[in-house]
Amino acid sequence: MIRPLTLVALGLTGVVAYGVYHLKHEVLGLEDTLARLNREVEREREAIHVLEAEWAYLNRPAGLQAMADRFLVLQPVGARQIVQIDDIPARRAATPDRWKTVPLPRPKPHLSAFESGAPAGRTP
Amino acid sequence: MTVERRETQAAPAANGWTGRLKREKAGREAVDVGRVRLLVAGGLFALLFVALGARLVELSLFPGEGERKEPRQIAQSQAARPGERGQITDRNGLLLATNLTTASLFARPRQMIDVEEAIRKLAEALPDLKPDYLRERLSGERNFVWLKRHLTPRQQQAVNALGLPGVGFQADQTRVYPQGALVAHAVGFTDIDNKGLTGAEKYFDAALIGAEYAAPRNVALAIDLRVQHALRDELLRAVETFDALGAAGIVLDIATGEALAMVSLPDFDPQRHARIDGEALFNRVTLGVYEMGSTFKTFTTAMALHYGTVDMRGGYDASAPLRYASFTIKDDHAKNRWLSVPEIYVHSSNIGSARMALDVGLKRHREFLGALGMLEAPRFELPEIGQPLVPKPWREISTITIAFGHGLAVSPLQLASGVAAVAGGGTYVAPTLLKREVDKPIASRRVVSPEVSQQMRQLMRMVVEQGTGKKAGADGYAVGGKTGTAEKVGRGGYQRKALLSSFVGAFPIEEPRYVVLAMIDEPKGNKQTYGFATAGWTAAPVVSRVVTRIAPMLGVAPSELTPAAPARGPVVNVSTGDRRGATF
Repeated sequence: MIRPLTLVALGLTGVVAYGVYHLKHEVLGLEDTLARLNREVEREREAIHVLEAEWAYLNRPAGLQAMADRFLVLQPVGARQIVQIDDIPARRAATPDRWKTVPLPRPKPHLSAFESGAPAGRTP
Repeated sequence: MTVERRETQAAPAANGWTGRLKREKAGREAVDVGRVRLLVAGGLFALLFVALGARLVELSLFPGEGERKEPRQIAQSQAARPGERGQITDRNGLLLATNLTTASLFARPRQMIDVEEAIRKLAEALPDLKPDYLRERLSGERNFVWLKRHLTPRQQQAVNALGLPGVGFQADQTRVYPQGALVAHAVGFTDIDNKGLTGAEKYFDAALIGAEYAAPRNVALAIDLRVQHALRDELLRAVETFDALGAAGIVLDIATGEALAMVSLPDFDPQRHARIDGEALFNRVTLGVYEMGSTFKTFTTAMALHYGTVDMRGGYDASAPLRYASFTIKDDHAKNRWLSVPEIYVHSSNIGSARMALDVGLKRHREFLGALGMLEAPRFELPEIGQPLVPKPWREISTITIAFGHGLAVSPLQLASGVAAVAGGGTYVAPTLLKREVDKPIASRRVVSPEVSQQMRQLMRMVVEQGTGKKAGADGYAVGGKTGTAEKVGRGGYQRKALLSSFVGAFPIEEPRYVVLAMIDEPKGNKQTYGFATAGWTAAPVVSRVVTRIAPMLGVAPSELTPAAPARGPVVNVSTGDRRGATF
């Protein structure tokens, strides 16, 4: 004779067994995902590594200097361009109104050549 | 149960009944005991399961501290990528040496079906593999042969497209030097199996590879790539301008002894180290030892002031050449009169310096140079370290000649660190190629007093303001230093035409932070220098330009000693082809 308690116990066993099976299945799936993600991370890391090497190569100072000479209208900072904070005259209390109507300076000729796309080194 | 008990009490005690009752009673007691035991055991197990469950809940809901720390720690530490040789970087973390994964091509001749076809196809896909070489490799009964190491992805693709049986790829690591020749001597290079052969690659080989219990580490050098480039650029220009054999240069941080830049010319591309001659491999900064000439008078003067044999107001007679045994010591810029100590230094008088050293005495002279690290090879993180050539025995004539920089050969590295000690406050700090860790105390030893160091700075500034080193004066930055023009030893003694011109300077001279040394090997005078090839005309301008370029990078404020020239009118855009001439 099967008592109700046994029935309940059997039923519970079944439920738990299914639960465990389901859990295991899920874990297997997750493990697959994890392995795949890890592989992807490794691939990305490798790619970053290669890009870092390329970045370092493209940023060689000699190469940058050659390109700066060719395309930029910049020059090394001279000592006269550096001043101490104390050398700057004190700021005026307020900007007079008439200053606000002063027109903006004209664009500098050598800069306009650069902005129109022509290499700076070729301007006459 | 109560009913039963009443029955047993009520029933008259018959023999058979009592026996049965006793047995029943014993049985019931046994069952009771069993039940209690079961309960206890069951309770115990239940408790344990509850404990397990609780732990399970704890683990899944509250991840402990210990479990998650590890990955983050690894990411932050200096550990290299697992299974790889460590990287070498400059002080700001810019890559100097790293690895790239490549494919290496191998073949299993036994598995090949048509060897001749394979040879034809491979030679077509990889033109640098000659058919004869392939035939030699693929014939015979070998199981495994390398055909070519480190293929580019394009080459790998080409070979893959052939679809040959018995040919395969093995993932491989190749060492890459993104900076090319820029830091060639400091970094060095490895062989095809990534084993360090020269430079830092060899010196730090163990750390870079790692050992059984130590993971491979990355190495950060003291080199600052920007400073290195500025120094190399200017030295290259000097070599070109003066048609020199080579050049050497170094920038030292005085306080820490770190080598911010170290250049030896001619140099080489470490990626193609198999095809370079020994001359380019030679590191003139650390391995080469030279008689440095007049720059040594810095040490002679500092020594005389240190021991107090003469003071700044004193002087020596330099009216006639100094004769000693068969030697005659003469002055290049002879004044033929009594010279004060500053005059001796500024006009670089050999006679005065020799007399100064003789006054101090042989023993103390040697001791002093020893304290400055001139008499033994410096401890520096490179395998290529030159042993200084010290005269043995040290005679009077040695002291006389060494006073003006002949008879004792040292490496430019030694000279620079010696000058750093004399000019930078009087303490000697051993030079290093490794980036110093912050907060770590730096070992130093006092060589001269701060007062003597201050006097030496004044003298070095005078050389640039009114002496032989006028061309080292950088616009806006106060440089102090000393020129040195040594004649190289050739067949039959010193050669008048083969010079070794050097300038060693410190800046900002009011409170020096950096020492810059430039040395040019056999420069030839040209029109701009009126035919002179001496240090004042060749090496000093290099230092001037290097200082103007690196001072803004290193955060050195322009000096009040040399107010920069005021801007004259609008700044003209100098952009006619060769911009290099416009560097100021």
